[in-house]
Amino acid sequence: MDLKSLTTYLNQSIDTVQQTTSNLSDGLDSAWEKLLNERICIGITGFSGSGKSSFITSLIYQLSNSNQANLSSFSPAIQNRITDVKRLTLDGSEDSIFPYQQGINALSSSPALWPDSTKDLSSCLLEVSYQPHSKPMFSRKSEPLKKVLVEIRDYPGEWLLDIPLMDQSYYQWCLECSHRFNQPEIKILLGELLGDLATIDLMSQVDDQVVQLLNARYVTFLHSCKQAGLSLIQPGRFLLPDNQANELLPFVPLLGLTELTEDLLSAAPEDSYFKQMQTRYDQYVKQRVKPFFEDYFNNVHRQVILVDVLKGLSKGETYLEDMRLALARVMDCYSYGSNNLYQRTFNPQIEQIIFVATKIDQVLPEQHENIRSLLSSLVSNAYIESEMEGIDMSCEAVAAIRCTNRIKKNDKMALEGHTIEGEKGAMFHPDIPSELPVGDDWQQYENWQVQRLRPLANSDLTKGEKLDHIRMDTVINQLIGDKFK
Amino acid sequence: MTKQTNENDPYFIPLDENEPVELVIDNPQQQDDIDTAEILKNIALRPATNRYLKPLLITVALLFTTVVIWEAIRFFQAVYSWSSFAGTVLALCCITLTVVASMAAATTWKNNQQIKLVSRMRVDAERFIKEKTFGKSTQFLSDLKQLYQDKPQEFLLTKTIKQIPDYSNDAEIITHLSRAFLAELDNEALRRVTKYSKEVGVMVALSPLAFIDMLVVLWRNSTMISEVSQVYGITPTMIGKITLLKLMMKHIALAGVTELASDMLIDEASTGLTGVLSAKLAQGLGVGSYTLKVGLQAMAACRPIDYLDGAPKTSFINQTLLNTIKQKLTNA
Repeated sequence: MDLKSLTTYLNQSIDTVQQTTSNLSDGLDSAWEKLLNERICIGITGFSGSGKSSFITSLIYQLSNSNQANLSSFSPAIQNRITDVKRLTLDGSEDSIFPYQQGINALSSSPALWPDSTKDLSSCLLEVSYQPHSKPMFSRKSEPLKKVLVEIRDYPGEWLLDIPLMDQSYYQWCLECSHRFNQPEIKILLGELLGDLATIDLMSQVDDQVVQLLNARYVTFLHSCKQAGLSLIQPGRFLLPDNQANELLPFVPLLGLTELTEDLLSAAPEDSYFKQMQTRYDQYVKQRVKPFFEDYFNNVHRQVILVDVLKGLSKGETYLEDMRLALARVMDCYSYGSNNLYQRTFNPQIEQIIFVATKIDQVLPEQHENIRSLLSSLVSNAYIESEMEGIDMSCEAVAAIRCTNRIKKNDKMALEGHTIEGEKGAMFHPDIPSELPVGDDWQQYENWQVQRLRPLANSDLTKGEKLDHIRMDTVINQLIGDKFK
Repeated sequence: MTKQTNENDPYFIPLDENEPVELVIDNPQQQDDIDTAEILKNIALRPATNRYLKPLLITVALLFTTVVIWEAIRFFQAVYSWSSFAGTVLALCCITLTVVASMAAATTWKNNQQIKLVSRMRVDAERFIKEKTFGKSTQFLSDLKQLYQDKPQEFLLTKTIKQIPDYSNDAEIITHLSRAFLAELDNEALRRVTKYSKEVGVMVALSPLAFIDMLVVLWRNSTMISEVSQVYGITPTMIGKITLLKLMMKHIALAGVTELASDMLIDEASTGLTGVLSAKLAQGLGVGSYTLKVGLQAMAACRPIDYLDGAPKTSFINQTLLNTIKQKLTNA
């Protein structure tokens, strides 16, 4: 070995050592921060179309402009104690950072647009500097600034619905599918596919072309489910743009297995439809769902689950029930447990879940409380379970970006706003129930449609102008308020 | 003869497993016990009354008033017949006296109403927090505005009310007022209470005469109570102070045994510790933390909204109290 190559080798080794040391010290720093309770990971999730991107954009905006924003329930903001908010990447790469600036640009464009919906994993690390409380009765001298690091993680809502698959075998999944697909509304969406899926001979040899075709039709069905406003759409990754979905091995639920027992099916030949579909399902769960869950879901301390209750309510009983079922499935997957000091450092677990009814600027303020109770009755089962496990649970009614104002029209209270097409109007709505409607109660919602609204024109957002919201401050306070001591 | 079946047994009626049965619990002994306990619990004798006493007092009062009015009229007539000018002056004096006296009474009554208003508001606020109604707290807000009208706190209150978003329900309004407005007043009140308890603690620790200690404690405590009530916007009056004291007593009684027990434990621990150091220091600390407790009760009684996030913690104040007194004693 000549001298030159030796030097290069040595340089490389030094680099590696330095890299390792810095990685190690980063890791230690992060562990130390976690130990000091200054770092907090917030997961923001919800089914697709529940308003995640807008929620996160608004959350970051309100925190970054806390002194101008009306955050009356978040005391560090009204006491002007937040001095600076920096947006950093979580893993050092700019690619996966949450597209905050694009969102703000969209909102401040004319006409204003909504932030783009989430298509991939993204995250953001907010470094919030604040003035700690001085104990007013003893010393007037100010203490040095402190920092709270807030990790925000976002991912497509479709992925969320894959998580329940981890707890289900292929057989169980098919059983559930065949049960659900018999509901009249879903039957219509399925059309002939229902019969085709049910008549496949499970034991016969698999034909890949048939599977490809069925899968394509199944994906179309999933898309129409999404469009119709259903929540429980599985497997969620089939809905993603083609380039990502193409990498997946196609599979479909086989609905003909209701008459067969699991024992009988386990004896099926390896190349049979059942065995092949089962293998592909298991692969999907193992390669896609589990890694995602372990990386992202399991690290979260505090979870926000966004639910578009209004959409469910206006669509009708089947849709709201579907939403309830989907929520229950998702809730089953949380690893419940208290977040003690040991767990916080090495195996953080969820300590708080906030269910948030979104887009409530479409409802008169008088009835916000009803939405909140409606949401809590939607998630009541999850409530009871998690209370036993010591997870702090709450429900809130929120509009991340408020598009309406309260007005009086024809002697009735109404909401004034612009539809997505730009048409200005006064909006009314039937009384929101405080519990799940039953039977004839549904009639009053039959003719009611929730409008898609356009955000209020606000070209000064880039200058830190106020971004109207409803109760974002309450959610922010619940999420991170206790960290600003 | 052994019985084979219960079917025809007149002494046996089969019961269905699922049929509910009515249990008859007849336990006269227990009943007696409960009654006795109840009677003992409710013992309250009417105070011995003399039914002639009241009519007697009324008659005397009536007689007295008649005589006074009669004499006044006689006096007025006499003066008027002597000089009509002097009579007019006298009449004017009488009228002024009546007006001033009734105004004084009204002011006292009004100031005295403030503490009652605050108590009533506290009940309202609690109801709003529970019921989460919408748009029903306007009366509460105007009461609050009226309470702080033309007082230094008005500026902060106006600012806080302006911050309330239009979609807030009553519970949110109350919470906001408590956290943004009253929390500021709490800080100020707590600062003053701490100052007084330190002062009293040090004075008691340093003073050699027990009698003077007592006077000092009484005087400082009463000043402190009046200052705390001013922080919360209640104008101090003599009667107001007495009402406040009564309210505080009620608060202390309501605080219940648990708080008392934990307080005593803390006292035990601190005096136990300090007792080793010096009896004087222990005395100072004891009286100091007593003053602190009185101050906190005054705060609770004057606050228009009950603490939502729990009353201020006092453990660390006790610690600084100890340090201050120690420092003063070693310097002295």
